Amino acid sequence: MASLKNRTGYLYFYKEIPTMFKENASNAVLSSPLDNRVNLSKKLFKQDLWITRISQPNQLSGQSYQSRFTKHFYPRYYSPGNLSVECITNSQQNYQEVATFIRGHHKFMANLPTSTYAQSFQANISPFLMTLSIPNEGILLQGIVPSFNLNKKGVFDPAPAFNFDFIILYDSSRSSDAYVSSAVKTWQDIRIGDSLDVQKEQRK
Amino acid sequence: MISFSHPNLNNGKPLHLRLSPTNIQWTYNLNTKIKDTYGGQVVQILGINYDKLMIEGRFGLEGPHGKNRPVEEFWDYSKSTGKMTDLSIGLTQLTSYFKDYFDIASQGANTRLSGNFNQVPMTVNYTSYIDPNEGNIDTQANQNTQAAQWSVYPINFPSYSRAITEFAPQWKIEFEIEEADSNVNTFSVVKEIDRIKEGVGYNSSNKFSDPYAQVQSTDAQGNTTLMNLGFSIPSPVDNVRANFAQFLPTLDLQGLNAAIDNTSGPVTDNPYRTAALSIYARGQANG
Repeated sequence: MASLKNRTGYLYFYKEIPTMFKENASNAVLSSPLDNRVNLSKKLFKQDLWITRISQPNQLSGQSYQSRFTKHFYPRYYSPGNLSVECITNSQQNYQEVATFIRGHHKFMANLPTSTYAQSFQANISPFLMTLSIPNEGILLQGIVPSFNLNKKGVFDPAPAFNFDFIILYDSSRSSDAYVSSAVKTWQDIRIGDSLDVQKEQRK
Repeated sequence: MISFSHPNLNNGKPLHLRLSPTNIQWTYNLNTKIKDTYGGQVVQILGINYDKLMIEGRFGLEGPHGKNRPVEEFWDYSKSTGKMTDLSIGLTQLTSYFKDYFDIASQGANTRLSGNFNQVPMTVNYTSYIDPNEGNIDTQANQNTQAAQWSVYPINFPSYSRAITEFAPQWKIEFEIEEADSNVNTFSVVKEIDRIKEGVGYNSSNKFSDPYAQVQSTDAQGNTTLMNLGFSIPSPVDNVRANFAQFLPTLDLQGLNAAIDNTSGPVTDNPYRTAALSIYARGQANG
């Protein structure tokens, strides 16, 4: 029986499994597939987080029709909301590291060749997404942090609190096998051509 | 205690919550068609419907959390037993249950439940008593009372929220009601019809629609009397009135009053009274 702790930093496509998060300093870890092959240092490989609150709405929408004594409802669409995460850090430096980490992943995603994207998403799980792991709550998700807000409040904010949304694309939480995930949402690349970096490479 | 069940979830076994909900709300509507007529406003009852059902509650110690636990425990709702000592179902497990329902009802599959597309509603059982007359859902359940059973579609589960400061997580679910508990149905319909009967609806002595209403009164003993007629009619006055209708082509209300009041001679010789009584007696004899 696998424990979640052993799956904390699962990034199966890497030979080197990252070290586990420090339990005395964090209760969650945000991993990103960044490595030397891209453009950032290995230092930004994972980010420890101290999460104070998580929440996620779930909705089922559909249509209802009224007969004389009953109202029939026809379920159509399941709308899983984003995971809303609230965190607190122990220093401004740590806070800015989180921002750098998320921004690094944005640049990484934006520079991925389109063909690589398409190929990778045919599998049940993508190697290019972020992984959010909260072991004490049994949560193991893959997705994207779409935006991050960095506030600077000067010297009066020694332990900055922040929040971000995590778009859940794959959910491995409820599977005993970390490799088996359910696709919560389908990722659609706009396919307007390869990124600028790739086009520059091709011109060379 | 409250429980949820669906044929494709948890092998059809119900999911029990240890603590009763703290708040249940539903909205009841009577579908009517209102038509203004010369004789008065007519309200036609077409049917009934229930709008959203909302249930709220809290968990206590329920739900396995913490480090070094087997993965299967966190989102597993299959261990629900319905006993008061059962702590296996917490907010995470309840969330998992409804996530699975949303998958089943919309696209029919996920990695846990493949090929289970099923749009039948979920059943909610609430073991508190709903009296068909009183509608009291707060009465404590006992062995003689039956659980209230609702047939519902969950549509909103907004309450999955875990925080390091929350020790009694709150849950809240919204449902579309397909069918309410039969006692609730009975209570609601009876209550609504009683309300309508109080002042709205057809009244035989409506002064706007009944030409005889102005000459009719009811005495202290409950007997209906035609005013100025000089005698009382102990049995249903409607029969007499219906038979009087044959005179209507030649006598309007004023003429009828004048004919009765101005007849000379003893009251027993009143021809209209004689005719009315004979027709009434004939009606009685014919049943």
